[in-house]
Amino acid sequence: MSGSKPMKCPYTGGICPKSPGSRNCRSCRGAAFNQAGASCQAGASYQEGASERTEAQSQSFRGSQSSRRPQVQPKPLALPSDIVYHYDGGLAGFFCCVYESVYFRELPTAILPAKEAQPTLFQVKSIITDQDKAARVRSSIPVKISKDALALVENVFLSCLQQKELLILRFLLLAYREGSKALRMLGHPDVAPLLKAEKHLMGEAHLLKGFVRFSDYEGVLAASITPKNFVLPYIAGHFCARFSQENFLIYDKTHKAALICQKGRRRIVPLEELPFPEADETETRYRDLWKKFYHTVAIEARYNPRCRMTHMPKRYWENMTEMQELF
Amino acid sequence: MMEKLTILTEGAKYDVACTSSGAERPGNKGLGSALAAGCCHSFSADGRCISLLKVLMTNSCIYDCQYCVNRSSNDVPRATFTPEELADLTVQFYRRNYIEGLFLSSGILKDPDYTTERMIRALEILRHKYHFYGYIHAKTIPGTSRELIHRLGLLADRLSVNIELPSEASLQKLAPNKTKKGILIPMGQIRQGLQENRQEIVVYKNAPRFASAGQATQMIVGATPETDYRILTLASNLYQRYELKRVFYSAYIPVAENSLLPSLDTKPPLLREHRLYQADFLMRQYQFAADEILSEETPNFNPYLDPKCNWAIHHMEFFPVDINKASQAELLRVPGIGPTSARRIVIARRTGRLGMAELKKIGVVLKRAQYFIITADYPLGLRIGKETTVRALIDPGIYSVGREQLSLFGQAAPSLTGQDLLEPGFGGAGAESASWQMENGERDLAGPAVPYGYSVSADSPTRTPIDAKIKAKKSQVQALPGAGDVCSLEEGVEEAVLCLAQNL
Repeated sequence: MSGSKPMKCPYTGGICPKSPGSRNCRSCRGAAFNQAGASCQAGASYQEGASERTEAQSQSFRGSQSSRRPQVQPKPLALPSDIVYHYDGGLAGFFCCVYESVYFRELPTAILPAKEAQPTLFQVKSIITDQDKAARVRSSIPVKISKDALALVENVFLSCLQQKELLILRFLLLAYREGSKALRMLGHPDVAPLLKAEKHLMGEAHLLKGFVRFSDYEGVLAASITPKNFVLPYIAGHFCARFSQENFLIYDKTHKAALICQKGRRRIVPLEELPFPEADETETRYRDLWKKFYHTVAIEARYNPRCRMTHMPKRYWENMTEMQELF
Repeated sequence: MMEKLTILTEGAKYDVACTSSGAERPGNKGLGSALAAGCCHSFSADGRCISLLKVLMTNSCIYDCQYCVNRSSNDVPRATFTPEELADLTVQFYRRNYIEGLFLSSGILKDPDYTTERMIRALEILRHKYHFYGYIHAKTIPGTSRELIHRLGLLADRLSVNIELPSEASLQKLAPNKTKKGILIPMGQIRQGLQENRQEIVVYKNAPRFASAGQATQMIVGATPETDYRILTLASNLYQRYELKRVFYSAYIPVAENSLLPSLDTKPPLLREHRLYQADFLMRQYQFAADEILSEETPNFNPYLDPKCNWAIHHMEFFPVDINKASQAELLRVPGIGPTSARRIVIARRTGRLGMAELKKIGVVLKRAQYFIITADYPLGLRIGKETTVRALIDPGIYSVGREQLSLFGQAAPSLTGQDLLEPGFGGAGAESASWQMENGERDLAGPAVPYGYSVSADSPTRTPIDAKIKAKKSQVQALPGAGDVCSLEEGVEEAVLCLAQNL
């Protein structure tokens, strides 16, 4: 039809505000689709569905965090119990703990890796790692919660958070109930610690992108770090892209692991010990030049060691070339 | 080499900017990459970030700027890097992850064009011989030809032209070889280059990038008698008209004995510099206008309170803000809530009403915010007296500076000595005639400003008209105690609390 008379929109019924006369207006189609989706979920006709949705929204707005009206709490997925879980320390082992907890509806007092286990008065359950169970739990997270939740769980599992297993479990139990909304409950006592731990991990990874100091040992660059979190997977991409033509190695002393990058291929391998050779003449020369630059660039009139320590905490100093004398 | 590096670092270290942010370049075949967020590689003993190898190409200079260490009349050892030496040093430092890139500035040899050509040669070796893709910040020298600036911009990520001093009169006194026009011309050229490049990239996405991290500038604070309000409006105008990414402020550190300058034993006005940066962030990220932070009546910062708290206690009619209802822009006005926590509040309150406990977990600084907000558990807000509020808001940073810093905010700029500065026509009202004007001469660059990145909308909460009552209040405001009025910092703070509480 020509533009003389605007056509009715087949989806919303009115005259399309965006492109009058067009059958394929995307915004109308999107709106119609959303409304239809809402009505399907509510299991009612189109009109009623819309009204139900607004009611559900307003109810969630009143919410559970600090509500004025007492609300019926949904039945928890697991109840606190005097049990301690021991697992193998890996992510798959931890997912088996989650499986166990949900299956028996019990929230353990603690979840510990077997090597950190101590004698206890509580009843101990040793969780055997079963790849099938782990895979079921793992795939349930993006489906029942969201992809971001899986990323959060995996990140926090590599962080140095105390009792991280238990805190992640508590988060998962909450999130299985709440769905993707759980990730937006930023002030919730079960969610906030995880976000904080993730921030700490990412923050440390960012700092180390700057604080790693390589030494050149006959063409191979090597550095050692002592981070609190297991940051190697988070700095690997950065350094591999930056030094794509170099062969290098970053050794994490705390976690006894090394990132090895050779001609663009990278691997993280467990490594018990790594002795560094003596620096040769060229290496010493550049180290001295760098130290000289470092000490010259500071302005004496603005001397402020506390500010330096705020930005660059002392625990990083032991691996930094220019801080060797001060450390 | 060691000696050269020392001399040329010594000459460059008073340059403020050491940021490596704004350019995103994934690493590929060559050496290096650039992160949009920037990356600090170390922090020097003065607490400043070291992210770039900050050196001069040469410290010999034909100019004689009074405030500069490298001025021609100063008796210091001179040195010059060859382009090859500089490129090699940069690459070797970069491989060891000491630095994020190069910050290259230079004294002026012969003339600006010759100097810039040498800088370009060094950068060309880096970019084309070593295939170096790290960050490069290059200083543009006023008086360089347009063509050379364009070539420099294609090699560097960020360009900067130093505006040096906040008014033209000061520039005439202290840097006789530089003029306002000479500084603004390259700035305008870079802006034009950036605009043209943006269009080129739209047409052809692999077009070479011209200064992808934009341009910046810096000025010295405390060497000349301009008020903070003047400096701030100047910065605000630079952000708008020249599309600068950053304006840096550098507290003047005495490097020369001169009757035109503060004496050698003057401490750098660090607190004032800090307040300027705080205000600068309010303009760039909190949508404050320069006129909201300071005004003609109060042309200087409050040393006891940071600019945001200062705005808050003088606009109590705006508060309390309801955390569960206010817009993000309104939340940003609350002391203790920054862009991150404002964003988080907006996300979190969709899942339920927020109380003080949740806010604490979200990361709001309740110490300052609690007096200005309404939460689910405090529907009326905290009912606390003015004095307690003011006392809680006092900037704890004040205790780490000397008492003398309080008076650097004074009108009369007591740090200045020398008779000729007191002559009429310099500073104060006389400065109007000698202020920074645009090439077209229509508007005063240091005049009243429209806020940076701020769209004026009808329902905007920040545009509350100041009614007559508040105006009347302001007329009888008590002056804050300066350094001369008190004998210790603690006493000063105590006096200020009482004074501010009374003024509210």
